[in-house]
Amino acid sequence: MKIPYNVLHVSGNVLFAARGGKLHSFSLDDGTHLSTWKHLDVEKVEAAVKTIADEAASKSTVSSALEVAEGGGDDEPPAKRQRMEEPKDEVNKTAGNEGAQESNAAEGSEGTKVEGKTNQKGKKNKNKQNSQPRKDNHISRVPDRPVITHLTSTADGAHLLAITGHDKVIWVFEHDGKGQLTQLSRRTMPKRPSSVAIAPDLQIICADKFGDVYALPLIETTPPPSTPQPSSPAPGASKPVLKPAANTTTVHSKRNLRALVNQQRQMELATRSKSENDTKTEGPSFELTLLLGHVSMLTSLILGESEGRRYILTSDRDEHIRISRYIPQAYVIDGFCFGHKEFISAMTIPTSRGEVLISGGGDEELFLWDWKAAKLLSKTSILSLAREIAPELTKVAVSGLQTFVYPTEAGNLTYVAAICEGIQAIFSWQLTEDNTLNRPSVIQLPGKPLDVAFKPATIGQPPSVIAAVDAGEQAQVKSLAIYSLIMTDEKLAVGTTAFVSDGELEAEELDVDGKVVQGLLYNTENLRKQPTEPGEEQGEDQGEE
Amino acid sequence: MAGPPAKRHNRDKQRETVTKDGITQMPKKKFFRQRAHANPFSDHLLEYPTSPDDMDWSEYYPDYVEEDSSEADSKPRRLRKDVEIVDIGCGFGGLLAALAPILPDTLILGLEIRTQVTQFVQERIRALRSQNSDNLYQNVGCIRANAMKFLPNFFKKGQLSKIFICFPDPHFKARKHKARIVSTTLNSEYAYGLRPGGIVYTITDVEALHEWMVQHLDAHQAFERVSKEDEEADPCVKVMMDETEEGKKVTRNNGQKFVALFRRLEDPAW
Ligand SMILES: C[S@@+](CC[C@H](N)C(=O)[O-])C[C@H]1O[C@@H](n2cnc3c(N)ncnc32)[C@H](O)[C@@H]1O
Repeated sequence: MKIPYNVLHVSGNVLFAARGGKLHSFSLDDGTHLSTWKHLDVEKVEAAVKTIADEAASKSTVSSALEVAEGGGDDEPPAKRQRMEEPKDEVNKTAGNEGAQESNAAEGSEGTKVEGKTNQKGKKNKNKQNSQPRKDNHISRVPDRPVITHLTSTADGAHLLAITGHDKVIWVFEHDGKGQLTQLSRRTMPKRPSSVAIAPDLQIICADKFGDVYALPLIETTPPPSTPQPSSPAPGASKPVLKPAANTTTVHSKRNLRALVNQQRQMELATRSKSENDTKTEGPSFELTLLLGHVSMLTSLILGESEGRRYILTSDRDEHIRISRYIPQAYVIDGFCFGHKEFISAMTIPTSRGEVLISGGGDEELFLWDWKAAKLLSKTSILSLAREIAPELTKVAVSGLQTFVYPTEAGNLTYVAAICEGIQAIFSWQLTEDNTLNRPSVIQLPGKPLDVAFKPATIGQPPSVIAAVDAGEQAQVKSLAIYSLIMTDEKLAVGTTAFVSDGELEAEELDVDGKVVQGLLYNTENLRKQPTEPGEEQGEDQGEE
Repeated sequence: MAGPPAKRHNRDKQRETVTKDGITQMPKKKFFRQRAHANPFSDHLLEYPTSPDDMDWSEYYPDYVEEDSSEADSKPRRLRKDVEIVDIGCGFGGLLAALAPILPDTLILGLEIRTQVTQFVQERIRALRSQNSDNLYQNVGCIRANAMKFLPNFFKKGQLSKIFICFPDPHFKARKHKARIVSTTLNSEYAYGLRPGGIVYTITDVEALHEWMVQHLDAHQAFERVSKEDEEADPCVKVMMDETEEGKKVTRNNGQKFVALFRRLEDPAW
């Protein structure tokens, strides 16, 4: 199969559609292809795949060599395999943690990781590496596949932001409004980003899998020679320390001084505690401010506004939705929306109803909140709706939540759409005035949805939903389709279906194993907590009674 | 591992609270040993309420259960007052036992991540209650919880007046700094739980950790350092120095103790 489209973003009349490490733009008027940006690693992976194929051609069969090279050759389930390939700050069920205790920020994930480097992640992997069957010692490893995990743009559409997960990079592009991109910056974050938003004041607010939220300017200012340690200053930082006379410069240098003193102390401590020698305290080379953090993996971040004040809403794997004030008071937590019993993976606030938050994740219901008051308004079962097309389901993992407006003669109606990992449908509801989700509908898809985006209604044209699906081995099914939305009794249904012109692009794509796709693009259900493995807890508690 | 059944059985027997003439005896620490560290990031098998309103405190503070709060309605039984003082990582409960009679009208709670240690403290409280008639020690409790992850699940905004952080694990490795109980981002959660004017008490024998805590609380806009005079005038400081198990250990070894108190400020207008 070919790697499917996995992230979509609509900006004006342009559809941005990422597929692995490639970012294509298409016209939403007629589906024409406008441009393509490629992560450098796309070619590295392709080159490595080719080399391996060539190397193997003379010896054994190509496919088995590839399997070995890409880690499909051993009997690890692909999802697990993938997790092991990821940096330690990823979900790591086997260790039953968020990996937050193991950072390997210093390990530059850029460039090609060949055999040996890939597995320097710790004890667990070492055995695996040794036991990995290898037919040929000279077979090189395929480098980490680049995957664009997030796309967003400024409200005016003049800038597009993309995140590539494998190397933790935030890319900012200038967008001419017609699909052409000019790369402006490339910033490697300390940890893998898990969610991002661009605030109206042109700050990028980025949440990571380590639990922290950073602010960084969309447009890089001249990089300061040495920026403060993100770990040292307070969130929201620069409180004029003690002496009121302090100005920005003195605070700044004081901070640096502190960081230095701190660093020295660290080294002292490291020597004192002998075995420890990791004093890698290199900060990023660009402006980066730590705003807030959870001691849990962050899964979603959105911005809210109420009575002219802005807020940052963050959700985590431990069922928390936290409401913090926006900069410069991001250190103030105003409240928590409590109620989820499983991980939260998606949140959205309808532009038409800014006071309402909708959240979903591993619970069978979607939750509707008055987020400012931290009050639950209603719950709606998404599992029961999903069972209409897949009666065997016992749980869902919401992988996408979006809202859009459907203009009618009676006024604008707000709709909420959800997709769940592995379930071939888009679920939608109308958000009513009395804060419930009504008029459920199921739009069945020809494959598993990876992302959806909406094209707003225009005069004479209803809104459309654009779906990126993983069609698996069904070669005839297109990964990207645009469905116009019609209403019957205010329930949504599909009118006409259109496709983008990506025939040539499709032909260029190399084949990729389904297991690799699974490992790369399916990680929502992985957020669910497993009962701790026996032995693990006991090591600590000497046997639970 | 759980160890051979016979051994386990034995330990259970030894741990059973000894009742003599109807009075519960103090538990013995040696039967409650366990590994020194627990990973604060792991999922564990923790139980925590979905929200503070879902927390059932009645078994921890039976004397404080609201008379007319029936078990019939779905919400847990309410207490006459809320927990106000928290000891984060309370260990074997020395501070709790010493504070309870000094602040008899205030509900005090120890949070401890290690199961066996928590059980020890719970036994200890049971024994103290049983040994002292006149309602002493009814105001103190201990639960197993990961205070770094779930504090807001237990306490509403501004519910707390004091948070104690006594001799926390130092986590020397730089990459483990997020595991420290005081960090820039975690301080926001302490600020959330504390009411304005509330105090965070810190004490440690590791000077570098002391400086770390001071630096990170100082730099946080919700906190200001309590002056030396106020610090000396606060009776809780002496308790924290002398009554915690770690404090006693440090005294025995003639070690130094570093104390710092921080006051929760009002949130600025927004
Ligand atoms: C060095 S002991 C200090 C005990 C006690 N405060 C004293 O002074 O004697 C630190 C304690 O904190 C507990 N602890 C560490 N992390 C914790 C967490 N996240 N939540 C609750 N307790 C924690 C440890 O299990 C340990 O018992």
